[in-house]
Amino acid sequence: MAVTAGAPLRRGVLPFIAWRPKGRTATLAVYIVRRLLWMIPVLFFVIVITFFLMHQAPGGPWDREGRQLSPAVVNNLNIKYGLDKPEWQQFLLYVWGAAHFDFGDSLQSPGQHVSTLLLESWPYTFTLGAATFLLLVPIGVGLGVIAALRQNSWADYTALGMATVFASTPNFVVGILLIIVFAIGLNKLTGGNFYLPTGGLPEPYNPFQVQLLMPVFTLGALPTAYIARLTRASTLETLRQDFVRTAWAKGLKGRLVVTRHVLKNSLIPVVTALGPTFAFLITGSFIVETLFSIPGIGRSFVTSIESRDYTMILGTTLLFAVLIALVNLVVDVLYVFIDPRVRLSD
Amino acid sequence: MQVGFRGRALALASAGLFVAAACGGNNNTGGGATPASPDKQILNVNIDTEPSTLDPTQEQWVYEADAGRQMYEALTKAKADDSDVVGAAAESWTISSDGLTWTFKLRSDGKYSDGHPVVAGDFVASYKRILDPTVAAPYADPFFDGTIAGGQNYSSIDAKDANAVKSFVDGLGVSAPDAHTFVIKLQHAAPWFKWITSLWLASPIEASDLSAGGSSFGAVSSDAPSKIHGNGPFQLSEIVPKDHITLTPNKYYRTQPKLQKVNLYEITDANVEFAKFQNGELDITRGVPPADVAVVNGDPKLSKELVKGPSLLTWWIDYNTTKPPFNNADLRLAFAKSIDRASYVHNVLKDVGTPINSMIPKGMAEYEASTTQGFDCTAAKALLAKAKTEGVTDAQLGNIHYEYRNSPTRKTSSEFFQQQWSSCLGINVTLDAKESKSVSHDLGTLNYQSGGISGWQADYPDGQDWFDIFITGSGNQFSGWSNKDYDAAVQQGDTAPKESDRLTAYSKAQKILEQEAPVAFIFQNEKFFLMSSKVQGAQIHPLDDDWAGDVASATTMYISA
Amino acid sequence: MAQTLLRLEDLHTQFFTGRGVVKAVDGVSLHIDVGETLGIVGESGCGKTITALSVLRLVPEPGKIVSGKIEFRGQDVTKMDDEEIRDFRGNDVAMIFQDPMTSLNPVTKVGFQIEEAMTAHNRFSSSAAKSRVIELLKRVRVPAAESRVKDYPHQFSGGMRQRAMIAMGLANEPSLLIADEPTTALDVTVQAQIIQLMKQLNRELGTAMMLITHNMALVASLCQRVVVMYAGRVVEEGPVEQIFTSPQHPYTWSLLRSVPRVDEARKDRLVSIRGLPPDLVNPPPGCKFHPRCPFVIDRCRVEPEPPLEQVATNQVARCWVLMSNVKEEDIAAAKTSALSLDAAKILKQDLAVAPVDEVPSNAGN
Repeated sequence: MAVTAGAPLRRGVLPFIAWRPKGRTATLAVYIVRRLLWMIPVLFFVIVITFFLMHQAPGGPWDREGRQLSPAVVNNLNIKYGLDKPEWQQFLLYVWGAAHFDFGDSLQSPGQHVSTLLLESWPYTFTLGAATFLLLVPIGVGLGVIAALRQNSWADYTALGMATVFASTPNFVVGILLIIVFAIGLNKLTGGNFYLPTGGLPEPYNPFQVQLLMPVFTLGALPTAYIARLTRASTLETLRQDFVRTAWAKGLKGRLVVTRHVLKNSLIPVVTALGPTFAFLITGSFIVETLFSIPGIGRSFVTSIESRDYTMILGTTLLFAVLIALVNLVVDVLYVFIDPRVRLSD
Repeated sequence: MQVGFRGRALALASAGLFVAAACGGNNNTGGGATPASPDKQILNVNIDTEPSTLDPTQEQWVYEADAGRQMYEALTKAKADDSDVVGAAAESWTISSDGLTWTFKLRSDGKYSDGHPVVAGDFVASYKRILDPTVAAPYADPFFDGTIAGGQNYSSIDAKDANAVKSFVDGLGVSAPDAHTFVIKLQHAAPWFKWITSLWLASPIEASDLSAGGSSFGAVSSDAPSKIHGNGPFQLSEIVPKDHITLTPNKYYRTQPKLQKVNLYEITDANVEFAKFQNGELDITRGVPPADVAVVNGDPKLSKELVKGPSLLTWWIDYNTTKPPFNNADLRLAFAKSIDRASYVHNVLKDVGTPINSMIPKGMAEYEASTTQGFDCTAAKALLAKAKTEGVTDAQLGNIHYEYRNSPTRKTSSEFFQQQWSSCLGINVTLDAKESKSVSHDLGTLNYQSGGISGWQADYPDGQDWFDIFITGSGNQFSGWSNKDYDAAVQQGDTAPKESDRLTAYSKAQKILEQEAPVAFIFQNEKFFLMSSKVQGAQIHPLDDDWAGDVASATTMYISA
Repeated sequence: MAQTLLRLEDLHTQFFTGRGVVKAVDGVSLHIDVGETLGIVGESGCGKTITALSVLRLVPEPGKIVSGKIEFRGQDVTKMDDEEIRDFRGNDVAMIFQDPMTSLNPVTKVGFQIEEAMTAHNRFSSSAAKSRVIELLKRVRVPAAESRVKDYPHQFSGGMRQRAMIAMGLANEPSLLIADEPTTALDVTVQAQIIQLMKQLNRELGTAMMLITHNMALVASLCQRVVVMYAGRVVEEGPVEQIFTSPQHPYTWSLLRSVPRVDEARKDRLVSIRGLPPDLVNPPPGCKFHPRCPFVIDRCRVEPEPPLEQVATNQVARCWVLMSNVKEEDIAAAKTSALSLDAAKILKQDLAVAPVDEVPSNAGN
């Protein structure tokens, strides 16, 4: 389902596709519906691949490090969770369940539905990701634009320098440094009166909480640096374009040239990059969540893989797939509005 | 119930020191300091990971018991010095002369946290539930393997056959002649069964909780406090999933603790835990990050808050005795004797732990010092030479692999061993770092040469828990080792009615084990954690899983003013 | 006597690059009168575009106007402050550029871009500007102007885009319109249309025009006077008729020879100028054209560059030799000798002199 530049709408082969929606809104609506319908086969394949890969990994959910479970018990556990059935049967049963929005029970947390666990953890991951995104966009894009407009000035070098540092520093290093300085260090300095808390559960959907400061910074440092560099490069390239010269030649005020002519063009690739960045942010980071004790899906995904919690692995993967597909759809639709050269085609 | 550990740095573990040998000064029974006012009686503990369930029957990991032991009480519990059990939910009990019938008299004042009384029928139900194949309790084996009558058929019942399941469960040797009497019939005499009755698994569950909760009883969710009512000294007050569990006193319990709130946090990162302790957000940690051990030892305040002491946890290296070259016992012993354990503990573990050459850790009655596997390079070389005459080839020796669970601490550990085998025996062992489950899989399917390190922590301080590991066909040994003499000695030790006979039999078994060396014992763990100086009255048990007091229950702990 | 609109006096615009200082405009003086169309011709890199950009002070980095005067109606553009120059651009003097596809903002509607030119100078109210846009588009002969204002540049054809650019340039009724290669990016039929349009506009509006091009045909159709530039300098200047019939500078002559002419016999060969444009960082000594000049004499190599001197009424040229002094047989020889080896093969011609490939060329700029 491509979004191509300038190609006219073609006639479909089957009669029911031959109906052409009239008007741009209708075209858009049809496009969105089609994309959403396409998600179904995509999710099916996600299940196929995940299922296959999951069972390829050696070991199972009942293997232990020290004291082993008795084989009789393992047998009963497999029966209880349907793991005694042949793999293809398990797969079909899972798909049937998923189609009815029943994603099974977690193997490592008895009695808990996978959907409940995911819905419990996801608000935290989303809050962290959204808060990071809210900061990342103005800072990253802003720094990039300033650096480009004042190329080779101290502002440019500072912005670029910071971006390079943060783009090369792994997030656990950033995170631990922050903890050492702002949690322990500040505590010692102020005699326990003021310091940043290392975690503590954030309130879901509220991006303005002090315990989110360090995790947001840790999670966002690298993507912000990347976006800043991208914005800078894109803006520099746009500044060289002929139409910018035309804008100056018309006698436009500097501010208008920058916003209406430069940024309106240079930010298009940035928007493209912000899509996957947002998807990345809201699917969580194991490291950040572990470091700051945020009980999100990033962390639970890794632990469920480690413990071979098959139902959780499948459920989380599906959730990720849906989120990423939706974010991509939003970006594609947004594109239609920000770049008039782009048209929807089937 | 020492159910498998999650991978954590090997130097960190729990279980405590005998009362007498405490270092660090401010902890263990007594604590004559003045308690702070009730609103300050809040204890903040880190238990590392959220329990996966609060249903006693479904316990899988140690973290469950961390919370569960405060909320529930089994028939018996361990004495402060771990020499025996005392009554908990049971007032007293008698054992028939043939050792087969155990009759427990329940306390008349036993109540759940909603005020309802604890009745014998609840025990019958929970014991049966443990052995119910459809429930598939992960740690059911102590209850059917050589213990409860009828349990011996557990393995042969098809969980899908409803009738078979029903007749099996109905035919189990547990009954309640009246509301305060609970009778257990055993398959044969088992003196160590008293310890089984003290496991958190064997707690009574309120019938109404079970019927209301159904298959999701025990789920760790925010509405759990209204759904789980235990008979222990504390009750669930609040659960914020993945963040913390809060306990408050159970007002229906026979004694009231001084602590008004116990917050169990789930912080997995050791450095964050350490930071929180320093900030005063945590009162008890699970351990100390290895990199900060020196810092803690050197700091005047922190060194006083350090709690140290041996725990009932031994670590060893596994050898696959079914494949060359480790099918040769002399070679195995040679390898075992070429490791300088003292150096290992000092250099790699930074003195958190003690070297050990035997299986049973110090602190248990069956402990015996031994030099059979002790560090002795000359003897090791001689054994190696002997092994070569018995058919071990140089080609085999040049292709030995040691696999370990991938983590930075285990890497250091494994490299130490590699260096020891090289310098003492001149053998270069190849190290293979693998993902935890893969290693488990290899060990379980005997698809390795040497690997490790594996550990065993006592569920209860009785030799039976340990010696059964290495009997023929045991699912808990990964060496594929089988020795008739050992099996016989262990059998004797498990069943002999007199304690002294048991000890003699176990001693014989232990000597065989050390000599045959299907595994090489390396060190005994040490409890090494921080407890704030304002925490008083803690009873540190050898059996503590995660936090000081969790076995004893936090009833004696309090915050000083 | 016509009134002078724009006067450039000894303009020097240089680029400060890592390789050295590129003297792109090396002392250019010219003038345009009210209503006049001046053509500036020369090969690529001779500095004509930079001269035009200098007028609007739009010289890109690392370029700078180093010295000289640019007088517009008596006011020196080089000394204007930021507000004044902003007011000046697009208002008194407007410029249209070579490639209309890249010169228009692809994500803004065409109508809006034209409107913007007007609202930037507060000369028209927003609603007046909107209706004027349609008017302007009609004037530049864009069909269906009312619906076209809502279109984006990619929805316009090449020719229409250039018309839109012209409309944008004329929006504020500038006294001078600078057109930099306005037809180069268009195909031939469209070119003709645009030329027609520009002629008409010039008649209708009386706007002066500075037409920069290397296309001599364009100059012939549109301009009254023409300035020939080479290596950053004016080498010849004069009325179009005169320059075309009797060019005095050998470069001008060579330029004219390189264009096919309807009024000449077909047997006359096209002559390409041998060699490459000079390096503007280190130009050759003496006359900058001498390495490529078919009529070079020793004086050209040795003495400093000749000054601009009157060679006919209203015509000046910068040359020691001058075409009027060159013998017929030398001219004939030059016509043949300047063929490249390939061209000679194609035309199956014998060469009297060594072909152009063996002439050492200067470093490109």
